[in-house]
Amino acid sequence: MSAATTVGTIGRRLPRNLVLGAFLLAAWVVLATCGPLLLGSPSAMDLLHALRPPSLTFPFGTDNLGRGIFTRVVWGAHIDLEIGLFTVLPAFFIGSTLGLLAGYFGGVIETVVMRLVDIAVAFPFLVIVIAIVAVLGPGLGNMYIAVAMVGWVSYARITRAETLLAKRLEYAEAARLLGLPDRRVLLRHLLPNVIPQAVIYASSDVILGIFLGSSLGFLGLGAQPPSPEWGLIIADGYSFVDRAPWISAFPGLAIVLLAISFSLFGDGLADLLRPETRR
Amino acid sequence: MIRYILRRLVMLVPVAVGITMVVFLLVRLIPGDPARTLLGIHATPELVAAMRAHLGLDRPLWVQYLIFVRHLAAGDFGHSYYYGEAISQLVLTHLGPTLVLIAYSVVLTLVIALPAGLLAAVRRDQAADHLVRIGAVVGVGLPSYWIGFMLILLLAVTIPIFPVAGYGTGFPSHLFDLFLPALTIAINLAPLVLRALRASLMEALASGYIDTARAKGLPRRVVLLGHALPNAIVPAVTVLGLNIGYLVGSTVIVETVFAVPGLGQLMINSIGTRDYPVIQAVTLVLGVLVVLVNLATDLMQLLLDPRVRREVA
Repeated sequence: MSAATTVGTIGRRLPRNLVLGAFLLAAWVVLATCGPLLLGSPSAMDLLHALRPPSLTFPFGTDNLGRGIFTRVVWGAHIDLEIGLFTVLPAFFIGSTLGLLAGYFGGVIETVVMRLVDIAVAFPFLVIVIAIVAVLGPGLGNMYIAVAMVGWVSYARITRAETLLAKRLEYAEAARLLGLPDRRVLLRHLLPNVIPQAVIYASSDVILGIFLGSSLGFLGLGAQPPSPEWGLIIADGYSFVDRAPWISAFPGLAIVLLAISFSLFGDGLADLLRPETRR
Repeated sequence: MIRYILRRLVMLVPVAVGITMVVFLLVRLIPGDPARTLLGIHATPELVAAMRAHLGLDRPLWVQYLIFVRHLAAGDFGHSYYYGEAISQLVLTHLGPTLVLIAYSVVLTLVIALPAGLLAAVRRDQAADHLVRIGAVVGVGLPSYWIGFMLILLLAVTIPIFPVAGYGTGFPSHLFDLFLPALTIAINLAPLVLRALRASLMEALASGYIDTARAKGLPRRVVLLGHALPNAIVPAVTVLGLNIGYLVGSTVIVETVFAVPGLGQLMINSIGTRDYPVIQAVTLVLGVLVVLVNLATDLMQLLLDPRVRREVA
């Protein structure tokens, strides 16, 4: 609970799934940043080697334009990790800020924020994001806008609930009784105690963001061709399911591995930041 | 209990207002002048002005909203730009396949989750339990458009049992053609349900009334299915209800993958043709669908669990 136990935990032993998850994620980041530098262009066509099955030269085979699927999947890691980051960060900042303000000040701010939350959660997330992208126009940039418009809701809910609890605790009461300005109580006293829950949620939200981004890519609403975004590669591969299943199989496996990495990391982070829930 | 149901119904009003407002404001997000966007860049100013008047864009926003709601109340979604026909008709013809797909997915989810959850809870910490739990972790982590691909590869191409796409004619044919689409969704959804079921079953199995039932000498199966399961089922239904939004969202992708002529496919096709009123209508209908299903799950809990009934009474 207290800061001391958390620090003590770090000093002694990190949760095993956190270490493994962090290691896997680090490997993904290295692959996504260095891989593209070592490999050729993801769009380099070679029609003489179209639809080749996996081999030594083409570890994941090639597509109908002779583009190496391995190269495209590695480049895609870069794009999809970026999608994870850009879908989560704006939602995290907007949502946490609104949640903190709503929980602390209550009144009109809280009513407005929570009514907006109620409305946003009434829609299926994917449907409302698709609808907004449909109106703004397909593409990654508009997808980020659409996700930010809806995704902040989860963070606002979490942070508000945490703030409501925290502001009644002694340290917060004491800070206010001392006559500290709201700004200082909020940023120095409440924020550090309230934000871990939002961070834990964000660590699992990243993979949901990547799922969403690749789903939209798959539907033709996110990344646009010839981008090697994984969902887009999988969509391309559907036409060749009977002749070249490797086109769609490998980017799918990549998403699954990335999802497992994030879920290990997220569970480990939850264990670390909420030591009391550890068995 | 009647009062609780009435209260839940009254609570729908602000949500309905919210949903209609979002859907109404949605098309205001179109960059630039909607009238000009619709008519194209070569339209004359007079034509644009006429279109603005026709769409009611020259009135104040709140008047436009009230007109929008009045039309909705009359079941009038306007006309499709692309298909030319009334959108209400268009939505009705596409609603059926989506509803069948949703119901089918829920059934398959339960068909997978109930036995797997029971097995995992009874064989706790044994090989079967570990296997089910690993399967659950993987199942949640698979994107639906990729599950669809692998199912097509395995059960439609390599072993050609099911069709690659389509909806068929007649109910038995719908069920056959929608098997892979529904299974795709169930593979994503079942892990969530079975986790909840496993946890609540283990809790139930550890309670006193189970000891009593066992001590009475009841057969294992009766204890498990007759005593433990009815007590453990509610959290599983709750999890299913919480994920209805996710389920409805998945139908959009799965309908695209398997060419199911449902609302999701209508929506995606309408994006290509910039048929904004149709996108608006489908968003509204899917939103309302989720709200209604959530209501149904809440009421289902009343039906399933006398403890919940007492709580709300």
